[in-house]
Amino acid sequence: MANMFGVRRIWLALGAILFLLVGCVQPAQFDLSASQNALQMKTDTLALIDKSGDKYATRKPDIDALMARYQSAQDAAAKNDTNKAVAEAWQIIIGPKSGSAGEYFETWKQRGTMTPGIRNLKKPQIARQFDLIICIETSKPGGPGCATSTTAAPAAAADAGDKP
Amino acid sequence: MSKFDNFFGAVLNAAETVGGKAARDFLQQATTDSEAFKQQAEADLQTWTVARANNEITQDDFDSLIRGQWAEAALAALLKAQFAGQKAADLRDQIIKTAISAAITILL
Repeated sequence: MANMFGVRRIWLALGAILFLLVGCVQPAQFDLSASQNALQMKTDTLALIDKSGDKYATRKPDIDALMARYQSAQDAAAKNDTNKAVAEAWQIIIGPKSGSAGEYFETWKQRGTMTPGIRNLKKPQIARQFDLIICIETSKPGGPGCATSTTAAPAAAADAGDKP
Repeated sequence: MSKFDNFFGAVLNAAETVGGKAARDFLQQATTDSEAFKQQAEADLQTWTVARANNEITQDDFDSLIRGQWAEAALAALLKAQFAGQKAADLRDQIIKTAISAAITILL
């Protein structure tokens, strides 16, 4: 009888190790709310870029709130080791020198207003960057797959093969 | 050689310097091997160059657009790494380091 319990413990231990190993290599599961949040943040970001001809001071509360939402998304993703790609993607969006939204808002702060020339060129670029984040979210196991308007995202997904 | 080739040649060289040939190959597969990505990036570089020449944007604006192109390449690599397991994740980390530290200049 005692021997039987010993064998059982070994199997339980092996099962636990296997569970941990699988957990280490599997990407995070699709999260509908994270995906919807990313989509909403894209919409809000582009709307703020449209308003960046206004004085920075008048839009500062909206910008601060949006930056806090980026940071919150990054923090949430960083808590999960299997969600590292999403955490790093948000870091690119936030970075003050990474050519994305964080840098755009920082430049707006320094200049006071943004000219139509840079507004019109940065807006589609930042939209594509968000499309790629949304694509990273939706292409996780259990997700609907990558179906955005961005040119790079579907190509990258197709090159990588079918969804896992 | 086009501006696009110059730009992505520099990007890929930087990835190789930081992460070795495997990092270069990985980034190349995620970006320049994709016809859609190439077409978009080529058209953008052309548009930005004309806008800069016409003084519609400053040099700082142009540099920001280039950094944004870098960011797109890094995000495409993150997406690709999601499908390709731990080895790709390691390469992706190298590419992110490259993207953050690289200073790419393009002659107008």
